[in-house]
Amino acid sequence: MSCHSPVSAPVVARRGIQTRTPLPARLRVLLVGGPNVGKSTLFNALTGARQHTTNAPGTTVELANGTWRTTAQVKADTAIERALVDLPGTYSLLARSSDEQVTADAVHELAQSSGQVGQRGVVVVVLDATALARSLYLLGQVAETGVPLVVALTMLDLAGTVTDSPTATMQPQTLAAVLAASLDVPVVPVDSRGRAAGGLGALARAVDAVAVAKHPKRVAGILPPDTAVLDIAGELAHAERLFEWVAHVTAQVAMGLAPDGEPPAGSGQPPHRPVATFSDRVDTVLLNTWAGIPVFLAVVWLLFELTTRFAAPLQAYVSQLVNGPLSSVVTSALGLLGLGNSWVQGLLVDGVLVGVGTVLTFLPVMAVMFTALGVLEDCGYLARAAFVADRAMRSLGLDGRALLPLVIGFGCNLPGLAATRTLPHARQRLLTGLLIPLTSCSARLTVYVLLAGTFFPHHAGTVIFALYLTSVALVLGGGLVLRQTAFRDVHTEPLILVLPSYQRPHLRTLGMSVQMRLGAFVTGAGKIIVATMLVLWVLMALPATGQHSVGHVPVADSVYGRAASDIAPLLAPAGFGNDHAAAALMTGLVAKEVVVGSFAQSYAVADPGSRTSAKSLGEALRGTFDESSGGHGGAAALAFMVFVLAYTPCVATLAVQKRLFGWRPTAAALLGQLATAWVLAVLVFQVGSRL
Amino acid sequence: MSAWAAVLDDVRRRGGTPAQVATRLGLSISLVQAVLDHAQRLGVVALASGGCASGCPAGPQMPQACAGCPISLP
Repeated sequence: MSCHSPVSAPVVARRGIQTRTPLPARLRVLLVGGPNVGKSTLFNALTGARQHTTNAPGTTVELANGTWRTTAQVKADTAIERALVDLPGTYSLLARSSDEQVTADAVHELAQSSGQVGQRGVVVVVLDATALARSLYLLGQVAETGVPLVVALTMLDLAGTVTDSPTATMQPQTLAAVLAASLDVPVVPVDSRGRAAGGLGALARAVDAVAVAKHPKRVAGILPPDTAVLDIAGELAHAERLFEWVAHVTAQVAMGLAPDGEPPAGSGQPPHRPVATFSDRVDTVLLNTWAGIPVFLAVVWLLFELTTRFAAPLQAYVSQLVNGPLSSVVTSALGLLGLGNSWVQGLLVDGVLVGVGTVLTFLPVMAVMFTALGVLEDCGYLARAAFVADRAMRSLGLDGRALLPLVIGFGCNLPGLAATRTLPHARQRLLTGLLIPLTSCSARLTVYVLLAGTFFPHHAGTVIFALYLTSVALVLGGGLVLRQTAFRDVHTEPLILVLPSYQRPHLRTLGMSVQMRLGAFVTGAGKIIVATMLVLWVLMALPATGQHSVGHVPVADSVYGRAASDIAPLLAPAGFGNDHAAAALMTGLVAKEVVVGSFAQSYAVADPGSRTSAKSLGEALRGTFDESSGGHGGAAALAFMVFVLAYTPCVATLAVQKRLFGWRPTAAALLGQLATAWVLAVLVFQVGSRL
Repeated sequence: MSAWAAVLDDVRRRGGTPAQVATRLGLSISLVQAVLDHAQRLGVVALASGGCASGCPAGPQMPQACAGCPISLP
């Protein structure tokens, strides 16, 4: 099969479109297709940077919306805009999940409204040339709704690798022509992966032509089902007709393409002997029972290293930039304006700037993780990883694709949550998203290092290792409990994945994808992070007594400090019922990175970077924990670390959870994590103090 | 016999993976997968969960796909 770009004009069916209506001001276009058929790649190529994500109405299913802009043919310089929606991938309109239901509903809704004035829309059905029959089955279902449609033909450069397909030896234009003749609707071969992004202009013209047609043509051989609701006998009869049509079109394509009258594949004759492709050869290793899992673990380790090591220096650099030069510039500017040392300076520098800085410091981690995930997904490995990990995840009622977000969570919970988007079902995404905060992110490591080094100086490594094992146990235990309670409806369906062939990632598409996801993070979670930091600053700036003025109050006398004093008794059963620990845990809700700083601040010692001050902080911690635990400081410190492990990681996590799953599950998770953390901490202390 | 009927009949009588069914019937794997997917959505075919490693469901619970397996329980 040639690898040249299948750029082409649309292959329009034989009968021309006679009657036209004006093109709507903003034509609605839906992209419909199966998983891994290149639909999202096509969406990115059509919309460029003009895209954003929203939730489908009443659901947590994410939809990518974008503006598809071209210049009109008839009137130069006149831009035509189409509202393009990338619907969740599905093999069928007979939905089995909420994601598939969103796609089915959108198609039916467009079909119902397309007859109304000004409501015209077009469905672009993306056909995979490497799995023609399966794609035709979906096309047949879409066509039955009566919606105006255009066919976009993708994966043409890989069609030659599918040896049992009649498309294996054809040219893109030939296949498109044969299909168009058989279907009687426009068929456009597109190459959204290639540099030339071939066929996109032709696709635009085909869509516009269908949109202005007063009576858009229907797919040949497809009729609407007899009734809206069919019994099982009717469904079976309908399925018989649908697959007869699929077989008929496939046979027509095969006959149109078979050289010299040779019997085409799929026509009743035994298929060609399979030839091992590059993907097949690589898969013999990557999907092997013994080699597949070590390779997968190595890939995961690399991801972990990228997140914790490669992005960490970038994070530190951004943090230093914000807290150093940027903070100094703002402070100096406020001084010049006569606002130095005022509450305005506190609000802007300690509130707004710290909030913005927190968002910015997460950007390198997110960018690295999104890029790595994009590469793995685009090249086809993510589907293999899911296959390899499927059996282990099945015990939690999840499929293999859930393992990757959970593993990423050990680096940082945020990209772990973002990675749940690779899961196909909303309930599975929610279940995985609730478990990810139980993975011990690298930010918690700073707390472990300080406390384990202080209380268990000779066994600090063992203690930290045990905390990571506890984290794994919490994920497994939490998953099993949730599966038996709130998530009984999550079915352990077999993982049916059509593994895509390995492909070279497309840098431009990858870049746009990372840019879009980072933008969504900054505008979504970023707003909540900044707002929370401002609220915390206000609580720290407000005095609890009349002895101090606003913005010039010691933390202990602030509303925030008093709240810590009120909370401290609740922590007494866990052995760390003191103001310092309570304040550090409250601050830790913002981010675990600030727990150590909060300890240092509350003990009025300097940054624990120097040896002397670190020793002072350690001594202070030991004294406080020994006092609040009745002489069992070690058990109290261990309980504190378990509490840090189990309770809410940071407000950024809450913000992302809220964006992905909504307020109710986020609030329930927050309360559940706090309760779990308290119970475990009390258990650890009560047992530890008696040993 | 149509592809739909042929695939369901073959699965009922002999079971097997989509690739095995496709090879026996001389159909493309893509077409067999589409038929089985639609049949599963209609509830007339159950796919063996987790492969054989998850154990054999016996009696009425046994998926039709296991019917042709020589070690499946009656």
